[in-house]
Amino acid sequence: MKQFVSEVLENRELIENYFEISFFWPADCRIPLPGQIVTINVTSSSSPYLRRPFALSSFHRDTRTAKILYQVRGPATQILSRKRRGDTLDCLGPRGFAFTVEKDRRPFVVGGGFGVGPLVYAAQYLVEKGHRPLLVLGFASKNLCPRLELLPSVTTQICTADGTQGFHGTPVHYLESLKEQKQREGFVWTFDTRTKMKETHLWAQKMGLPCQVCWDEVLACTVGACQGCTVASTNGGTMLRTCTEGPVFRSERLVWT
Amino acid sequence: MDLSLSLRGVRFPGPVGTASGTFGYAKEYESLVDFSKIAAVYTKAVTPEPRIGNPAPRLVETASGMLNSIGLANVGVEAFIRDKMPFLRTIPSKIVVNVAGSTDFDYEAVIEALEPVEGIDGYEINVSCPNVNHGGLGLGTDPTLVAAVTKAIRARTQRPLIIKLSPNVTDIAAIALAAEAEGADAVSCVNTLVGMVIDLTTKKPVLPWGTGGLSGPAILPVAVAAVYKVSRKVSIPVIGLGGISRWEDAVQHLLAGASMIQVGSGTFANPALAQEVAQGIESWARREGVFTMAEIHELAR
Repeated sequence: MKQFVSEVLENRELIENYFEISFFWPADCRIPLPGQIVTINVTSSSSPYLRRPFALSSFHRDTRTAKILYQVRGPATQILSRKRRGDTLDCLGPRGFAFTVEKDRRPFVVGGGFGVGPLVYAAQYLVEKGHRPLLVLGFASKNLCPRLELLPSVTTQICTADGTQGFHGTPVHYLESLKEQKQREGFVWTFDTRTKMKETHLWAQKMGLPCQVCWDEVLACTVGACQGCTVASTNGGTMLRTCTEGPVFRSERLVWT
Repeated sequence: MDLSLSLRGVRFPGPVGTASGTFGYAKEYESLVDFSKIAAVYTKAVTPEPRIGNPAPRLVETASGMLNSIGLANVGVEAFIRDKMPFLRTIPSKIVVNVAGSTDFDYEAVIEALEPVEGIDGYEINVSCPNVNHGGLGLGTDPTLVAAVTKAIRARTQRPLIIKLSPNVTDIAAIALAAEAEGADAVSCVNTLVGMVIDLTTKKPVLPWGTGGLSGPAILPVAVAAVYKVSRKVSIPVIGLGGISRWEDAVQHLLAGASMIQVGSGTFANPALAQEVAQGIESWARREGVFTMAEIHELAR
């Protein structure tokens, strides 16, 4: 984990609300693994006050170009969306526990919303490691789904709630539509809103599949010092730090509300 | 340039420390900071038993600040001594252990356990945490209770004893005087302010107990006013904290009468802030032609 100030190479709008920012990742800083976070201080002013967690959507080794596919959700991502080539990016990372591969099972990489970028990164990582992930991404509608540049070797299924593109329904509906045998072969990596991740967790539990979630919580220090970013675990109510014991957790370890 | 401060024979080599609750047990920042530039580390509050802390969410951002409702989550004094002190002993910064509790017994139990432990340079007594759910703002609002706690702890240690003051009171100087009268070597001024954020969707407070402690640049003027008031009433040193996010903010605290300062939540956005503030204070002092804390205070007279 390092703190570094990088320079923005490009920052383009893919579709309303989804942007992709490119910046240089220093040579002496480890390349993030899927699920690990880098926290960004988007401004030198005092509002917004806190760093925000992000995860990479792609990394180009030859040029050490890192990309983050992000959704504009509030004041910090608003500011981020207005950064131009040459602007600085104050980064701290990589940080936290990454997604891990379950042996002898097929990866289902599932989610949507602000999870899209990190899930694309995860799917590409799995392909590079010789796996055959099924990337299942859900959106409300076709016009809310950004065009994604994926390696052809990543099998992708787009799902839309209104049926305007791909499968009509949620990612979990799609997974349930697969042959039961195919479902039971899998393990799950998921990143999405808590409601959607809970739906995925319950389906995985029902099918007996290992499931890992990437947890998103407001954080302050990034380094495990302040105890602010915690989530309750099923182990006697112990609180787990998203930035240190996470952000990736086995889904059954967390208390789902 | 000598901006050091001695408390009860312990020399703090410079005026900048990192505030309790924002710096963990120091090891968390090992790869990010230069401890030789940080004069003092105030540890996360230590309680007799381990505390899980409050339910999530524990943080909410506000304009130029944040609310926290951590709830004194800490490993407890036994694990603190066994697991956290070893690393703390290795860093050049002075180690001030923040002690929290809810009754006299809690404080005394922690002090007794810490007294034989080497490497501790002082105690900062947290009588002012607004987040512990025992039915009030804490005993830090009552000068009589603060006097009693100070007296009880003073009898048990020769180490520097700092009482951390709450701003959530009518008369902060009265609390400071009570601490001084019972033997406190310094007061730190101020802990967080009580605040609340209500979610427009749920129509309810964001934090589980409703309120939380407000930190950040938003509270700088409140903290500076408190330091100004208190330093004119007590003779013991005042350690200023609250709202520091640049060296200029720290200088305000010093000109208000503080002899040392602490950097708190400012570290979250900028882990190097404490050492930047230390550098900034020194450069400013040089430009002003002053070389000691007494001379800095003279500028303000």
